[in-house]
Amino acid sequence: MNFYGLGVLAGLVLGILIIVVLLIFTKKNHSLRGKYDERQLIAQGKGYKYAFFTMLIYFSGLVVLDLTETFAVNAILLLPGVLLGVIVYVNYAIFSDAYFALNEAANRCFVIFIIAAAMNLLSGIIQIVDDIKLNNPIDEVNLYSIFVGVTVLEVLIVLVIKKVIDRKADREE
Amino acid sequence: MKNLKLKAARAGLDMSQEDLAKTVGVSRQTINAIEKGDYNPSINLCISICKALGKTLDEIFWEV
Repeated sequence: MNFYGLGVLAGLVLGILIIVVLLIFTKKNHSLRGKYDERQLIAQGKGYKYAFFTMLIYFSGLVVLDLTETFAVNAILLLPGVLLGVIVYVNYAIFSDAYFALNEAANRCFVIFIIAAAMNLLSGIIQIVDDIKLNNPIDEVNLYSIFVGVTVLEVLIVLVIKKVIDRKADREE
Repeated sequence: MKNLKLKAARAGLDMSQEDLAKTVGVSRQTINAIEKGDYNPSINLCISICKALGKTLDEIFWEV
């Protein structure tokens, strides 16, 4: 294995470690797994179904565009399809009160989402601005950062909207 | 259809939705959805709720 391969492997291991730490950090009982009740699991199942069909339509559309040669489909368009599925699932779960587990500390998740959105958006924008300044072609990896940053930001905004709606509903009851 | 019998039984024991939810191991929103008639719970959850409230299944979930 060359140094590039070792670097990728080290990055993957570090990424998995960070995810494990964050999963434990966001749980009230420091468990790795989230505990969901039966209504939440049913709602999540519906969310997965809608996300699956969204991705199916998106990727079918890409195939049609590619076959009919109406649009040059390249690898950069694959990630938005996956992220679109994530957005559909997460938004459905949030509005069905099925996103946060029973043992999950929502406030800690908010902090992580803010950091994740800021890190991805900032790193992507800074790198792209540098590329433009230096007249370099824009690196696709930086576009991936922006796609992920926008997705996390969208989830964050939806979480805030849901929180406002819930507070309003609680006051009315 | 709203489950007013569940709401009344819960209020009779001076329990909040949050209290009942914690006792039976579900989210507050799930108890709220059952009371509003938006969600039909499984028989296992019905039994847990009845045990927590000291009522029978008929008293809480049977429509007359």
